[in-house]
Amino acid sequence: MRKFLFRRLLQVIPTLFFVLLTVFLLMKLIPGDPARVLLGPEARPQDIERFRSELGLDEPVITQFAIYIGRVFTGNFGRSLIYRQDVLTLVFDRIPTTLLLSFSALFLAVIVGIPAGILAATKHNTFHDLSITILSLVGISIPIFWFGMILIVIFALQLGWLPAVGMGRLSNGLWDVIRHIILPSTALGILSMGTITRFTRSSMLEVLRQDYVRTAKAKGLNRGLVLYRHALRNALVPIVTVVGLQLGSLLAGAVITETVFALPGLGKLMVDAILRRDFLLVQGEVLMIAFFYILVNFLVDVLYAVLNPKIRSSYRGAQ
Amino acid sequence: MRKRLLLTILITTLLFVSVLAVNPDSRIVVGTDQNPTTLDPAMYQDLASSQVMRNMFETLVAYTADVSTIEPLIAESWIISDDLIEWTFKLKENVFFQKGKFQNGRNVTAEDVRYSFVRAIEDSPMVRLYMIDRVEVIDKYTVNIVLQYPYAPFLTVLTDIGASIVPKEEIEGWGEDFVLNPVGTGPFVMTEWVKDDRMTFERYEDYWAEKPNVKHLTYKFIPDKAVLTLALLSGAVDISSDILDQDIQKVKDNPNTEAVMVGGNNIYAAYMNSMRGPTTDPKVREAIFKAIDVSQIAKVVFPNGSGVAAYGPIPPGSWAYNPNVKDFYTSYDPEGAKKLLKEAGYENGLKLTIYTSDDPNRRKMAIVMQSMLKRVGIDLEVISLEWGSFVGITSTGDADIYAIGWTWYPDPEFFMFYMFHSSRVGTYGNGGGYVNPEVDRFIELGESSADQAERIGFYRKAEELVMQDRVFFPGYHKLVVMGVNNRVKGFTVSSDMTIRIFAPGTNVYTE
Repeated sequence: MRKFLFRRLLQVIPTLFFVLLTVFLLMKLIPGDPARVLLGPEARPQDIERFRSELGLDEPVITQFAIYIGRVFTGNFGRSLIYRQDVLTLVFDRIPTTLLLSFSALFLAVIVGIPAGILAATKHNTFHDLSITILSLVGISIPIFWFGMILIVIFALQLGWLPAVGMGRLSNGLWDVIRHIILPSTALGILSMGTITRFTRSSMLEVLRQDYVRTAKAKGLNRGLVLYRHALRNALVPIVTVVGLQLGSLLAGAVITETVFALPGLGKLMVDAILRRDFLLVQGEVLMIAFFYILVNFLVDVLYAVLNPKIRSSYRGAQ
Repeated sequence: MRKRLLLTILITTLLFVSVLAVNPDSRIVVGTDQNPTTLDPAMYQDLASSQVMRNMFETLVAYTADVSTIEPLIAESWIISDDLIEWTFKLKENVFFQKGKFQNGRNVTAEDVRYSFVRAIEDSPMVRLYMIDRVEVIDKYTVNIVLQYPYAPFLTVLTDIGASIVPKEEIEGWGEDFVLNPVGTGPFVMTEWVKDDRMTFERYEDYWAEKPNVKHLTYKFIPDKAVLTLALLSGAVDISSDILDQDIQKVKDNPNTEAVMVGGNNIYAAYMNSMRGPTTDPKVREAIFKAIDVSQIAKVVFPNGSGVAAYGPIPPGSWAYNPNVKDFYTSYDPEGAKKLLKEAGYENGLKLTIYTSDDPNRRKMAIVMQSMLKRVGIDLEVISLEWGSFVGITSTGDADIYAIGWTWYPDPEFFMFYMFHSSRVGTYGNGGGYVNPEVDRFIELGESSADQAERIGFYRKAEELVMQDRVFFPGYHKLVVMGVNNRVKGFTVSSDMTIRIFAPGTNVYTE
């Protein structure tokens, strides 16, 4: 197990390197010169040239990449061109908002999605099953953007229960943070909620049809025990995979949610950085997100092993 | 006599009541859809940054809120040499910087003006104030600015927040971190900046002049304009920087809010390439002019009336606006267009491309043009790009036609020079590569004349020549529409889109 962990961690370095290389090249390939975008519409060609050489953009691409990689290894991600501040500071400032948003959305999705999926599976082909299936389909199909607006109109404008936009402050108490995050995390979580519900339902249905479940039932075991110890535990492995993968789509959806609800998160920062060709900021941020994503995947792998002894033993075999 | 006494009492009472109604510690929340990126005047390049910096920094002179006149601010008076080369400013003696870490709220002198301008010239990536040759300190409160060439709109340039007076000690003391710890001479100090979320200001109680009525000022950054309107309607913001055409009625229907519109200093148009491609042929350009009914564009793009048809590049908000500009070129005539295309050798059709930014209004304009051009046999492809790509392709003359948008001060120089002077070829403003020595000459005459009436004549002549060359198909002027909560008093919507809470002649308050 320890060797497995070590090997998995070692894979992270080349992955991050290729992520960085790809982003670096992509930023070079998209049309639109950073100097021109940054200097604005009034900029004259000679000003743009001067600024390009100040930024080192007139060097060959390979040289630029080598210089950049060298700096990254020493922990220097450079200064953002638009904010003129350290890239890492800018990124770290935004991480709490995005993590809070993504995890509360995931939390909502899991606490609603898994029970709903189990319910639908156990009441297979009943009215409950049908309504849960339809609702989860609606959840998957709703555009976050539209749903977010609807939530604002109903809960902020009409009812006035919750704030329309912005982030709460811890200095105003925990409740301030919670009431600001309810609408955004609902808007963002609805998609994952639908996905998790559907996945739990089908995974449970499959397990419930297995022989060992029938045997357990035949043995006269308590229904709850069969459901939770025999069925759910086995059904959980694919569900955990889906939940882990959801984090990726939640991070992507956070871009839109942060725009609708005006939250100062990574998504908004990334969009602005790309639009303004702030390549140092884009590269630094992508690296951070990739690192985080790889970390989550790694944790999911470890969780499999915890959940399923078969996977644990296969690691042993790999020695 | 008795009547007169009664009237006096009445007026006095009214005045008294209205004075009482001003809350001297007003609290205002401004919502904008754009995010400031810097708080260093020399470094800024976007409206959102200049917007918030107005609260902390001040310039020698400033526009009134209706952007009609330039008033003294840090400067008390000025003398301009007859050749428009030397501009001598006498400063007010009672202007003080805000207290900061590296100086204790000291007096502003001519040396500060010199330092600030030299810094703006040398450090600003935008190369602002590029027309300045040198800045000379005459005495403690007198500074002489010598230009490289006669430049009549120089006073307008000095109203730009990029020409703010900043304290050397703070700039040098903080270094790169000045952007987070800005210190100027303005009436507010920044107390908090949560990027992409909000920025808060408190009134600076030791401000050198009459103080603002607003004590707490917050800017909330809400990127989506529809959500921004929802925030206005829900009372989360008091002033919103922009209302979409389709949301105007909603704002008007709400008993607590009002949608205030003023003519904007902007032009949105289709700029045609005169360097390469089919549009270099004057007949093709004339055919395009005849094929499109310009009066329809604004109606389709702004069904609720927040835009008006444009007929020339100088907007109605400018003092050089010519109401007869549409007489300079032939009007809508689709049959004539077909004839011209035939003469130009395109009887079997012509394929052109128009580039637009991702601004929905400009995209709509391009689509209206596309449908009208189709009727005369021109197949116009509409390509919509995000800003960075758009500006890259259009600046270098790689578009047949591009949907340009231009917003600036009411001085016609900021439209005519930047979009039509041959020295601007290769920039976004003159991405069509338009060169006409006569136009250049009239613009330069406009720059070097001190007499406003004479300048109007020069710029109008240049405009006439441009319109006759038919390289610039005018689309619309967008109105500036802001949403204002009724509790906000004394606020004027500015045609340059700047939100002025405190400016010469303006001191916003709540009751």
